[in-house]
Amino acid sequence: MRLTAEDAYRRFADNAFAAAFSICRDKTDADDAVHDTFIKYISKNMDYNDEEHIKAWLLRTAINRAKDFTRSFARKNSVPWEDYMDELEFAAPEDSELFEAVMKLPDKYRIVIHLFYYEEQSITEISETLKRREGTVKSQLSRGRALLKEMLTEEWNND
Amino acid sequence: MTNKEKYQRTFSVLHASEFDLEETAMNKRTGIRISKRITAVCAAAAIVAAMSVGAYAADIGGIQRKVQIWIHGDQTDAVLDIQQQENSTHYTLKYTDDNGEEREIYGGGVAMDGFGGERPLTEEEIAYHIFNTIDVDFRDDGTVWAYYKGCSMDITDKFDEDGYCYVQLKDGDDVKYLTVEPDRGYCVSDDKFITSKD
Repeated sequence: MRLTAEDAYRRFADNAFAAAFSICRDKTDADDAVHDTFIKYISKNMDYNDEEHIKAWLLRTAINRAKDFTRSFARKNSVPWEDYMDELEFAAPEDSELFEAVMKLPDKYRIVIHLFYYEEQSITEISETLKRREGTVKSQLSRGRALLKEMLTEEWNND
Repeated sequence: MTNKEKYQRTFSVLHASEFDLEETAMNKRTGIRISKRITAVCAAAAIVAAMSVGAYAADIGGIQRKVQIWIHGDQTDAVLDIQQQENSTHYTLKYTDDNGEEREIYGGGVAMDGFGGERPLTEEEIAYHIFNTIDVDFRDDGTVWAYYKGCSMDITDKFDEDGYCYVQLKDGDDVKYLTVEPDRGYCVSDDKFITSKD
Protein backbone atom coordinates (compact mmCIF):
# COMPACT_ATOMS: atom_id res chain seq x y z
CA MET A 1 0.00 0.00 0.00
CA ARG A 2 0.99 3.60 -0.30
CA LEU A 3 -0.39 6.88 1.04
CA THR A 4 -0.23 10.00 -1.08
CA ALA A 5 2.52 12.34 0.01
CA GLU A 6 -0.11 14.78 1.28
CA ASP A 7 -1.80 12.12 3.42
CA ALA A 8 1.49 10.80 4.72
CA TYR A 9 2.58 14.33 5.57
CA ARG A 10 -0.67 15.19 7.32
CA ARG A 11 -0.54 12.05 9.43
CA PHE A 12 3.13 11.63 10.21
CA ALA A 13 5.07 14.85 9.60
CA ASP A 14 4.76 15.94 13.25
CA ASN A 15 6.00 12.54 14.43
CA ALA A 16 8.96 12.76 12.08
CA PHE A 17 9.65 16.32 13.20
CA ALA A 18 9.55 15.44 16.92
CA ALA A 19 11.87 12.47 16.38
CA ALA A 20 14.28 14.57 14.32
CA PHE A 21 14.15 17.34 16.90
CA SER A 22 15.00 14.91 19.66
CA ILE A 23 18.16 14.10 17.73
CA CYS A 24 19.32 17.54 16.63
CA ARG A 25 17.49 19.89 19.06
CA ASP A 26 17.24 22.48 16.30
CA LYS A 27 14.02 23.53 14.58
CA THR A 28 15.59 24.35 11.23
CA ASP A 29 17.55 21.13 11.09
CA ALA A 30 14.49 19.12 12.15
CA ASP A 31 12.38 20.83 9.46
CA ASP A 32 15.07 20.10 6.89
CA ALA A 33 15.20 16.49 8.00
CA VAL A 34 11.43 16.19 7.55
CA HIS A 35 11.61 17.96 4.21
CA ASP A 36 14.33 15.60 2.96
CA THR A 37 12.42 12.63 4.30
CA PHE A 38 9.31 13.47 2.31
CA ILE A 39 11.35 14.16 -0.80
CA LYS A 40 12.67 10.64 -0.43
CA TYR A 41 9.18 9.33 0.19
CA ILE A 42 7.96 10.94 -3.03
CA SER A 43 11.02 9.90 -5.02
CA LYS A 44 11.31 6.28 -3.94
CA ASN A 45 7.69 5.41 -4.60
CA MET A 46 8.04 2.31 -2.43
CA ASP A 47 5.31 -0.12 -1.55
CA TYR A 48 4.57 -0.51 2.16
CA ASN A 49 2.85 -3.21 4.17
CA ASP A 50 0.58 -0.84 6.08
CA GLU A 51 0.45 2.63 7.62
CA GLU A 52 2.64 1.57 10.54
CA HIS A 53 5.27 0.52 8.03
CA ILE A 54 5.09 3.94 6.39
CA LYS A 55 5.37 5.66 9.75
CA ALA A 56 8.33 3.50 10.78
CA TRP A 57 10.10 4.26 7.48
CA LEU A 58 9.47 7.99 7.83
CA LEU A 59 10.69 8.02 11.44
CA ARG A 60 13.85 6.09 10.64
CA THR A 61 14.64 8.28 7.62
CA ALA A 62 14.02 11.52 9.52
CA ILE A 63 16.18 10.33 12.42
CA ASN A 64 19.04 9.37 10.10
CA ARG A 65 18.80 12.68 8.28
CA ALA A 66 18.81 14.58 11.57
CA LYS A 67 21.94 12.65 12.58
CA ASP A 68 23.58 13.84 9.36
CA PHE A 69 22.81 17.41 10.36
CA THR A 70 24.30 16.97 13.83
CA ARG A 71 27.55 16.04 12.11
CA SER A 72 27.38 19.07 9.83
CA PHE A 73 29.63 22.03 10.42
CA ALA A 74 26.71 24.33 9.71
CA ARG A 75 25.27 23.42 13.11
CA LYS A 76 27.61 25.85 14.77
CA ASN A 77 25.07 28.46 13.66
CA SER A 78 22.04 26.68 15.01
CA VAL A 79 19.48 28.33 17.27
CA PRO A 80 19.78 27.06 20.87
CA TRP A 81 16.89 24.82 21.84
CA GLU A 82 16.39 27.01 24.92
CA ASP A 83 15.44 29.88 22.59
CA TYR A 84 13.08 27.69 20.60
CA MET A 85 11.42 26.62 23.85
CA ASP A 86 10.23 30.20 24.31
CA GLU A 87 8.11 29.82 21.18
CA LEU A 88 6.40 26.66 22.36
CA GLU A 89 3.09 26.81 24.16
CA PHE A 90 3.13 24.09 26.77
CA ALA A 91 -0.15 23.01 28.32
CA ALA A 92 1.27 23.09 31.84
CA PRO A 93 4.38 24.47 33.56
CA GLU A 94 5.64 20.99 34.38
CA ASP A 95 5.62 20.19 30.66
CA SER A 96 8.34 22.76 30.02
CA GLU A 97 10.36 21.22 32.86
CA LEU A 98 10.02 17.79 31.28
CA PHE A 99 10.94 19.18 27.85
CA GLU A 100 14.01 20.86 29.31
CA ALA A 101 15.04 17.71 31.18
CA VAL A 102 14.75 15.60 28.02
CA MET A 103 16.76 18.13 26.03
CA LYS A 104 19.50 17.89 28.64
CA LEU A 105 19.77 14.13 28.30
CA PRO A 106 22.77 12.78 26.41
CA ASP A 107 21.95 12.24 22.71
CA LYS A 108 22.04 8.45 22.87
CA TYR A 109 19.42 8.34 25.65
CA ARG A 110 17.20 11.13 24.32
CA ILE A 111 16.05 9.43 21.12
CA VAL A 112 15.46 6.13 22.91
CA ILE A 113 13.34 7.88 25.53
CA HIS A 114 11.44 9.69 22.78
CA LEU A 115 10.64 6.57 20.78
CA PHE A 116 9.56 4.73 23.91
CA TYR A 117 7.34 7.39 25.46
CA TYR A 118 6.13 9.36 22.46
CA GLU A 119 5.95 6.73 19.73
CA GLU A 120 5.18 3.93 22.18
CA GLN A 121 7.70 1.70 20.47
CA SER A 122 8.82 -1.51 22.13
CA ILE A 123 12.47 -2.29 22.86
CA THR A 124 12.54 -4.45 19.73
CA GLU A 125 11.01 -1.71 17.59
CA ILE A 126 13.43 0.90 18.92
CA SER A 127 16.25 -1.50 18.22
CA GLU A 128 15.09 -1.78 14.60
CA THR A 129 14.54 1.94 14.19
CA LEU A 130 17.94 2.93 15.55
CA LYS A 131 19.86 -0.15 14.42
CA ARG A 132 21.06 -0.70 17.96
CA ARG A 133 21.14 -4.01 19.82
CA GLU A 134 18.16 -4.68 22.08
CA GLY A 135 20.42 -4.97 25.12
CA THR A 136 21.90 -1.57 24.34
CA VAL A 137 18.46 -0.02 23.90
CA LYS A 138 17.28 -1.55 27.17
CA SER A 139 20.19 -0.17 29.16
CA GLN A 140 19.98 3.24 27.46
CA LEU A 141 16.27 3.43 28.23
CA SER A 142 16.92 2.49 31.83
CA ARG A 143 19.71 5.05 32.19
CA GLY A 144 17.65 7.75 30.49
CA ARG A 145 14.72 7.14 32.81
CA ALA A 146 17.02 7.29 35.84
CA LEU A 147 18.43 10.61 34.69
CA LEU A 148 14.93 12.01 34.17
CA LYS A 149 13.99 10.87 37.65
CA GLU A 150 17.07 12.60 39.06
CA MET A 151 16.19 15.86 37.31
CA LEU A 152 12.42 15.83 37.78
CA THR A 153 12.14 14.00 41.14
CA GLU A 154 8.48 13.80 42.08
CA GLU A 155 7.30 15.05 38.67
CA TRP A 156 8.53 11.79 37.13
CA ASN A 157 6.81 8.60 38.25
CA ASN A 158 8.35 5.20 38.73
CA ASP A 159 6.01 3.57 36.20
CA MET B 1 -1.08 10.92 34.84
CA THR B 2 1.51 8.40 33.64
CA ASN B 3 4.97 9.31 32.42
CA LYS B 4 3.90 8.35 28.91
CA GLU B 5 0.91 10.68 29.02
CA LYS B 6 3.03 13.51 30.40
CA TYR B 7 5.65 12.97 27.75
CA GLN B 8 3.13 12.84 24.90
CA ARG B 9 1.37 15.99 26.09
CA THR B 10 4.71 17.80 26.40
CA PHE B 11 6.05 16.86 22.98
CA SER B 12 2.77 17.33 21.18
CA VAL B 13 3.71 21.03 20.97
CA LEU B 14 6.26 20.19 18.29
CA HIS B 15 4.99 20.59 14.75
CA ALA B 16 6.69 20.34 11.40
CA SER B 17 6.62 23.46 9.27
CA GLU B 18 4.39 23.38 6.23
CA PHE B 19 6.08 23.06 2.89
CA ASP B 20 4.85 22.76 -0.62
CA LEU B 21 4.76 19.12 -1.62
CA GLU B 22 3.95 20.05 -5.21
CA GLU B 23 7.03 22.20 -5.34
CA THR B 24 8.98 19.36 -3.82
CA ALA B 25 7.74 17.00 -6.48
CA MET B 26 8.67 19.52 -9.14
CA ASN B 27 12.15 19.90 -7.69
CA LYS B 28 12.46 16.15 -7.69
CA ARG B 29 11.80 16.15 -11.40
CA THR B 30 14.35 18.86 -12.03
CA GLY B 31 16.79 16.91 -9.92
CA ILE B 32 18.01 19.64 -7.59
CA ARG B 33 17.08 20.26 -3.99
CA ILE B 34 18.45 23.04 -1.90
CA SER B 35 17.98 22.95 1.84
CA LYS B 36 15.26 25.17 3.25
CA ARG B 37 17.98 26.46 5.53
CA ILE B 38 19.40 28.46 2.65
CA THR B 39 16.14 30.21 1.95
CA ALA B 40 15.40 30.75 5.60
CA VAL B 41 18.77 32.18 6.42
CA CYS B 42 19.01 34.30 3.33
CA ALA B 43 15.59 35.74 3.99
CA ALA B 44 16.45 36.47 7.61
CA ALA B 45 19.63 38.20 6.64
CA ALA B 46 17.92 40.05 3.81
CA ILE B 47 20.53 39.03 1.36
CA VAL B 48 20.66 38.74 -2.36
CA ALA B 49 23.91 37.23 -3.46
CA ALA B 50 25.44 37.70 -6.84
CA MET B 51 28.93 37.22 -8.08
CA SER B 52 30.72 39.49 -10.44
CA VAL B 53 32.30 37.82 -13.42
CA GLY B 54 35.60 36.24 -12.51
CA ALA B 55 35.40 36.92 -8.80
CA TYR B 56 34.75 33.30 -8.02
CA ALA B 57 38.12 32.31 -9.37
CA ALA B 58 39.98 34.31 -6.75
CA ASP B 59 41.06 31.51 -4.45
CA ILE B 60 42.41 32.53 -1.07
CA GLY B 61 43.46 29.09 0.08
CA GLY B 62 41.74 25.76 0.61
CA ILE B 63 38.23 25.86 -0.73
CA GLN B 64 37.59 29.40 0.47
CA ARG B 65 37.08 32.00 -2.17
CA LYS B 66 36.72 35.75 -2.21
CA VAL B 67 33.48 36.68 -3.91
CA GLN B 68 31.34 39.73 -4.36
CA ILE B 69 27.72 39.52 -3.30
CA TRP B 70 24.82 41.87 -3.77
CA ILE B 71 23.25 42.97 -0.51
CA HIS B 72 20.08 44.83 -1.34
CA GLY B 73 21.66 46.36 -4.39
CA ASP B 74 25.07 47.06 -2.86
CA GLN B 75 28.00 44.99 -4.00
CA THR B 76 29.98 43.71 -1.06
CA ASP B 77 33.10 41.59 -0.64
CA ALA B 78 32.57 38.26 1.07
CA VAL B 79 34.39 35.01 1.71
CA LEU B 80 32.69 31.84 0.49
CA ASP B 81 33.67 28.61 2.21
CA ILE B 82 32.27 25.42 0.66
CA GLN B 83 32.57 22.14 2.51
CA GLN B 84 31.56 18.85 0.95
CA GLN B 85 30.37 16.27 3.43
CA GLU B 86 29.57 12.63 2.93
CA ASN B 87 25.90 13.22 2.19
CA SER B 88 25.58 16.90 1.45
CA THR B 89 27.45 20.09 0.68
CA HIS B 90 27.43 23.12 2.96
CA TYR B 91 28.62 26.66 2.58
CA THR B 92 29.28 29.73 4.67
CA LEU B 93 29.38 33.29 3.34
CA LYS B 94 31.02 35.87 5.58
CA TYR B 95 30.93 39.58 4.96
CA THR B 96 30.94 42.91 6.80
CA ASP B 97 27.74 44.93 6.71
CA ASP B 98 27.31 48.69 6.48
CA ASN B 99 27.62 49.03 10.25
CA GLY B 100 30.94 47.20 10.29
CA GLU B 101 29.44 44.08 11.83
CA GLU B 102 30.54 40.63 10.73
CA ARG B 103 27.66 38.77 9.12
CA GLU B 104 27.35 35.16 8.13
CA ILE B 105 25.06 33.31 5.75
CA TYR B 106 25.15 29.58 5.61
CA GLY B 107 23.34 26.75 3.89
CA GLY B 108 23.68 23.45 2.18
CA GLY B 109 21.90 20.90 0.08
CA VAL B 110 21.73 17.73 -1.90
CA ALA B 111 20.93 16.88 -5.50
CA MET B 112 18.50 14.09 -6.24
CA ASP B 113 18.07 11.98 -9.31
CA GLY B 114 14.73 10.73 -10.56
CA PHE B 115 15.14 7.44 -8.74
CA GLY B 116 15.48 8.82 -5.22
CA GLY B 117 19.28 8.68 -5.18
CA GLU B 118 21.11 11.56 -3.52
CA ARG B 119 24.49 13.14 -3.93
CA PRO B 120 26.11 16.20 -2.43
CA LEU B 121 25.70 19.33 -4.51
CA THR B 122 28.77 20.33 -6.49
CA GLU B 123 30.52 23.61 -5.78
CA GLU B 124 29.18 24.93 -9.07
CA GLU B 125 25.59 24.13 -8.07
CA ILE B 126 26.04 25.79 -4.67
CA ALA B 127 27.57 28.84 -6.32
CA TYR B 128 24.79 28.98 -8.92
CA HIS B 129 22.19 28.92 -6.17
CA ILE B 130 23.90 31.59 -4.10
CA PHE B 131 24.40 33.93 -6.99
CA ASN B 132 20.92 33.53 -8.42
CA THR B 133 18.96 33.91 -5.20
CA ILE B 134 16.00 36.26 -5.19
CA ASP B 135 15.09 38.00 -1.98
CA VAL B 136 11.95 39.81 -0.87
CA ASP B 137 12.27 42.33 1.95
CA PHE B 138 9.23 43.42 3.96
CA ARG B 139 10.54 46.63 5.48
CA ASP B 140 9.49 48.19 8.75
CA ASP B 141 8.12 51.22 6.87
CA GLY B 142 5.56 48.99 5.15
CA THR B 143 7.20 48.89 1.75
CA VAL B 144 8.09 45.65 0.04
CA TRP B 145 11.21 45.28 -2.11
CA ALA B 146 12.40 42.52 -4.40
CA TYR B 147 16.06 41.96 -5.23
CA TYR B 148 17.73 39.91 -7.92
CA LYS B 149 21.44 40.30 -8.52
CA GLY B 150 21.96 44.02 -9.12
CA CYS B 151 18.26 44.65 -9.66
CA SER B 152 16.03 46.06 -6.93
CA MET B 153 12.37 46.97 -7.21
CA ASP B 154 9.77 48.51 -4.94
CA ILE B 155 6.82 46.13 -5.33
CA THR B 156 4.65 47.62 -2.60
CA ASP B 157 1.93 48.72 -5.02
CA LYS B 158 2.02 45.60 -7.17
CA PHE B 159 -0.06 43.36 -4.91
CA ASP B 160 -3.50 42.46 -6.24
CA GLU B 161 -6.72 42.45 -4.24
CA ASP B 162 -6.10 38.85 -3.18
CA GLY B 163 -2.73 39.77 -1.72
CA TYR B 164 -0.61 38.25 -4.51
CA CYS B 165 2.14 40.05 -6.35
CA TYR B 166 3.51 39.00 -9.75
CA VAL B 167 6.64 40.70 -11.03
CA GLN B 168 9.38 40.00 -13.54
CA LEU B 169 12.94 40.64 -12.40
CA LYS B 170 15.59 41.11 -15.06
CA ASP B 171 19.34 41.07 -14.93
CA GLY B 172 20.65 41.40 -18.46
CA ASP B 173 19.09 38.56 -20.39
CA ASP B 174 18.14 36.66 -17.24
CA VAL B 175 14.45 36.94 -16.41
CA LYS B 176 12.86 35.56 -13.25
CA TYR B 177 9.13 35.39 -12.57
CA LEU B 178 8.48 36.15 -8.92
CA THR B 179 5.22 35.44 -7.13
CA VAL B 180 4.83 36.85 -3.63
CA GLU B 181 2.05 35.29 -1.59
CA PRO B 182 -0.21 36.83 1.06
CA ASP B 183 1.62 34.98 3.85
CA ARG B 184 4.90 36.61 2.73
CA GLY B 185 6.12 33.41 1.16
CA TYR B 186 7.35 33.62 -2.38
CA CYS B 187 8.31 31.40 -5.27
CA VAL B 188 10.29 31.89 -8.44
CA SER B 189 10.17 30.37 -11.89
CA ASP B 190 12.35 30.80 -14.96
CA ASP B 191 9.48 30.66 -17.43
CA LYS B 192 6.15 31.68 -15.91
CA PHE B 193 4.41 33.10 -12.88
CA ILE B 194 3.55 30.43 -10.34
CA THR B 195 -0.05 30.85 -9.24
CA SER B 196 -2.11 29.27 -6.50
CA LYS B 197 -3.59 26.99 -9.21
CA ASP B 198 -0.18 25.51 -10.08
